[in-house]
Amino acid sequence: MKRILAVFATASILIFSAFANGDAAIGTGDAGTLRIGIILTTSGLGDKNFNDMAYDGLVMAENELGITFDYGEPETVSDYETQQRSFASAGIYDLIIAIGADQTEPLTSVATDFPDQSFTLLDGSIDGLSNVHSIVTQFQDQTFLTGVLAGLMTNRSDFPMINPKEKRIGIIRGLDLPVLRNATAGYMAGARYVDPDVEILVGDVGSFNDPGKAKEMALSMYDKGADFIQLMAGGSGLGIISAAVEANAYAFGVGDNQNGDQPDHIPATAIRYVNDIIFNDVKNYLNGAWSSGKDVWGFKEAVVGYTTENSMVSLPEDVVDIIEDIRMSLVAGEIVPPSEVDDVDAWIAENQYY
Amino acid sequence: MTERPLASRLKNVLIPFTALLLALLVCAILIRSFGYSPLSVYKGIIIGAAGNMRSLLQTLSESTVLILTGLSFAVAFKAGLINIGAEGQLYMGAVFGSLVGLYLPLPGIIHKATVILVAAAAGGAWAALAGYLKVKFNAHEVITTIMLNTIAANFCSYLVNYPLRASEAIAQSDRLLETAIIPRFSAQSQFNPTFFLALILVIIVYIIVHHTVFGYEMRVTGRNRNAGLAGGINVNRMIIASMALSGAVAGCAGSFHIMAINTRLIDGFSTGFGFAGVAVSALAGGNILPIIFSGILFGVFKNGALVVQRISRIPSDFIQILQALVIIFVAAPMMILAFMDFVRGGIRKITNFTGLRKNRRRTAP
Amino acid sequence: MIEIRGLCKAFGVIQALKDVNLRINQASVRVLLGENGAGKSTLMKVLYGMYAPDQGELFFDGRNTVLRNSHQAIDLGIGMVHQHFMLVEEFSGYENVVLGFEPKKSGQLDRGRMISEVNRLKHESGIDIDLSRRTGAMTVGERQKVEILKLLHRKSDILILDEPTAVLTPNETHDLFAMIRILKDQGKGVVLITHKLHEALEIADEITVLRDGVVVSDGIDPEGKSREDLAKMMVGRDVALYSRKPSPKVGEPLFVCEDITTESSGDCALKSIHFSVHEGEILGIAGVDGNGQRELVEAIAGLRETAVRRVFVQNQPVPAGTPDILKSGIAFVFEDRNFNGLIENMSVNENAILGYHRESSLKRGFLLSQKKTRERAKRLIKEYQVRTPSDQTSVGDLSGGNQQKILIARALGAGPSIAVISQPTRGVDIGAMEYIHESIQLFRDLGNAILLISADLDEVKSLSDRILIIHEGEIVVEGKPTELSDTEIGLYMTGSHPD
Repeated sequence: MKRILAVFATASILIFSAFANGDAAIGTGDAGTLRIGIILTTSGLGDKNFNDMAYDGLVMAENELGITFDYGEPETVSDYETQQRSFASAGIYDLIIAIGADQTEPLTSVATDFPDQSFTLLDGSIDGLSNVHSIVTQFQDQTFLTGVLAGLMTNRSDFPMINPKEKRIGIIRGLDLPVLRNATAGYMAGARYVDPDVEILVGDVGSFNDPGKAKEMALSMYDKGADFIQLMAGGSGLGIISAAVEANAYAFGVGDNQNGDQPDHIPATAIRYVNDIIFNDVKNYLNGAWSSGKDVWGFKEAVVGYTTENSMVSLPEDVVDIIEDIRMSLVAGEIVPPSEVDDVDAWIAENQYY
Repeated sequence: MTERPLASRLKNVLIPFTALLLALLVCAILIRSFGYSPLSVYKGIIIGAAGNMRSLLQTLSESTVLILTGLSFAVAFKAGLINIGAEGQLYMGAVFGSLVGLYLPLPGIIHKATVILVAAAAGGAWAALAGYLKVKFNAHEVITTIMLNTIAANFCSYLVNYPLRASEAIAQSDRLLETAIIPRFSAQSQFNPTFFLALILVIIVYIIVHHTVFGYEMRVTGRNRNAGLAGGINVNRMIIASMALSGAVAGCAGSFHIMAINTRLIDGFSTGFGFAGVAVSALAGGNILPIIFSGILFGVFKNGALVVQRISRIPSDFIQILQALVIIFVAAPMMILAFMDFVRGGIRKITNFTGLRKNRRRTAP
Repeated sequence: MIEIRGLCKAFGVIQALKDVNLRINQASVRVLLGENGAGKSTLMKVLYGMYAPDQGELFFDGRNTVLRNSHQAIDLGIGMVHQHFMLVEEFSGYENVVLGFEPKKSGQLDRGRMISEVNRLKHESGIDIDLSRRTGAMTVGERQKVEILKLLHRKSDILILDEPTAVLTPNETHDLFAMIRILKDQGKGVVLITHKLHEALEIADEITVLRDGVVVSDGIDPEGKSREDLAKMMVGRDVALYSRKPSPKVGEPLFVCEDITTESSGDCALKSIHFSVHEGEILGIAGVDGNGQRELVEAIAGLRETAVRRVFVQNQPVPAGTPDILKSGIAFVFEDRNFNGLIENMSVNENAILGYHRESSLKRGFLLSQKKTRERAKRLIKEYQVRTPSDQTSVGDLSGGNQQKILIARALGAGPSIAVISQPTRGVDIGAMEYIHESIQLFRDLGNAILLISADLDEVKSLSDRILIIHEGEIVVEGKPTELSDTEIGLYMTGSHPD
């Protein structure tokens, strides 16, 4: 028996050392190099959106700023705290970035326990801690221009995929969450800014990863005469895109540029430059410009925007011009979209493009 | 109660050990073939799981629930039942435990004890339901417990999405009352007293199973139901009671997790703890005391995986593959025995060749 | 013709076969007799290519042959019917017979030829069986016929039958022997492994006795030999088989069964069974297996639903259900130790307390005392001469005889006044059988009452003070063993009346 154990031990050592020529380096990076940790959301890498964009931002920082970074992919919501704590207690990270509103709560307790560790939280805000930088983006800014586009196009008769009769458009959300209500308000305001008579249908899937249900909801919206549907539903959005193809209608992407996914059906994306947000935060940290506290960024700060890149839908010249005009006003701060759905009517009464 | 001869005991240790080793080897080949370094993965696991005091304590914290779900499976298995329902029983324990933790103001230690007891009762009742369905309608417990898992998880989900929902952004309840929360030993890790409670539970269950009349009847029922009937054992009652005990352990696990780790009820908080328990129990060879070790080993995997990914940017999926391989090899003892024979044969050839071994011994078939 | 010379085979330190020589001739029946563990099965497995011998040679029709596997053995015309049948239950009898050697037409099974070929074999060998049914639906005896036809279809010249009668009823055994005789007349060589003495005497042309891996006696002509002679060779000492020892004193009725009636649910219904067992008496129930014996024992124990169940001990009604009935002083040895007697993968000491495990004498506080349990087991092991390495050995590792001794010890050692003992020596070595019989008689001599149920007529006759014969759930006759002749009993057992 002893002999067997001995052979096992020897064999394993031999085999492992045979394999050991790879990147045996654990803890790469020299002293002096900025080291960043990031805790992604439960959707993890490969979502072609939020998580991938955040990751891209760090890759960009790695290439351009010479930082190194490590990342964690939590399996469930209850893993957030474990991961945050694991990063924080490692004690080797200059800055730890947590993304997603649902990391707010656990980060509050972890940041309290590690007062000397710097954290950046995207999509949530933590008050009263001097080691946390909270970044919140203006969702109403993000969807305003897709709203404008939908408002301008919904009764055009020169587009075969548009039903010129009803002025009806839609937005489908994963859950009825505050930030998504902001997005809804922006979308509504944008559409009615150019045409106060546009009717906006709102639907909630109830989940960010139920494409099947989202597809049914989208089909029913298209059936009711909606010409455009704004995606705001995470993984459920795939169902809306496939409904757009099936119903031969239009949908707007959200987050990362989704135009290329179905270039004939997605004329534009309400984009959010998560990669830039992350990159800039790291850059600020490197330059000593990073500070704790809360930042609310929108169109003006160029963290959200609107793009038609990669889309095959050719928009009429006049529409493109109007959108560009409104975009300039947004950047200039002349237009401030409302953040609450209840305020849209009042806002429309005061703000009209024509 | 039985002390087996040394040889068979050694075999009990050697099979899981060999299984682990084989799994490490096969996984190393896989990792290598994907262009990563197995050494850095395994080094990462070790550093991550036991590199320093903090990691070690975090590992023990991760293993707490796994030890209990493993124990839950093992208890039912002793009674000849396959309880795949630890996941659901854990949810039921967490749900009812957190109700007590949220809304029943009691003084500290009493509050904590009440939460645990209520959770154990809820988990036990949920499992006993599967036992009842088996006794009454001959419904196989594997099917019923799997179905009950879904119901329990969705029940929890409903509660935290609607009536108990505390935050608009996340499907979770309020924080439990301070008196119901089990504090951690330090901020460095999630290590907390529930680990020791889990160890105590293992020992209590061991005594119940191996040193009481109840446990004796349970084991007889598990191994030969007809002999149990002939020996005056109420087999049906034993089936329900064993399920209840198994479920109570899983329910405790649920309450420990919400009291010490999450401090609140969260939608889908379990990363498949219940199913991992099957693996933990399998690695322990269906025995009770070794569950402590196999539970900690899976805690090592879990905590190590986190660090491997964090540090080496190697997908943590490899750790899951590794866990799966361990189970496959443990579940296929014949394969292990064949491998051991092969190694033994190799040794014999080598030693014969070098003339180290004079007298040949034969092995039994 | 096969000849084995100087065969040795060891497993670890255990020498299973030592310098064994054996000749198997065509057109003859060779019975291989020996106790469990004497090496019979090992010998046959070597012959069938399943084990490689350590030493020794095998001559097949005079040629020195080395068998590497059983396929080679089959090719050489050696066929074996294992104790556990190797049939595909979902297949019909026909399909099982040709399995692996199917007649084919353009790559597919030729059903027409399969049926005609197999029917011809059936006809030639005088085996009468409907092969169109699924084997899973067949009786044990029928399945055995399928196994034998399978060997004939493979054109085996030497048929090895491993304990073929262990699972058969007397009638089926009779049929099997008739079949073997026909095969012998056709020139087949038959090797029959058994430990049943009367079978050896009945069917053998030559008997070989194995003991502890050694051939102690070869080429015995059964003519003029008695069972005792064979038993002595098997065990190595004089054995008192079935010695009658009447009760020293029969007292008052202790255990009275006024009426047990059950309704049939696929098994044998009991029709108003009634009897009484007196103090110091063994009441034997004889009958062909399957005539209600099992049902009767289960009904008494309360493990089976009954229409009427009026059972009394000293005029007190006996409760149904094992916990209570065991407490009322009735102990049971059920007929099938593997089914509900023992827990194979539990230790001897844990098995020895089953049914009595709630007794306060075994407890320490609320715990079940390991020390007291083991003490009790050790006492029983000693008193009933159970041969086991330790009380912690797994029961499954013991021989059938020692397993049976544990059951007897558990029941009689618990201090009951009444014992219901069913098939006490089924599948048990001669040595153990002798000892079990003595234990039962000793228990009776202490003034206790015993209800003995056995399919072994010799056993019932030699042990019982009084005999009942059961046929189709009914007691057909009662009498003293000395008053009833074997012929009479045989007729009653099959449902006919001698007069």
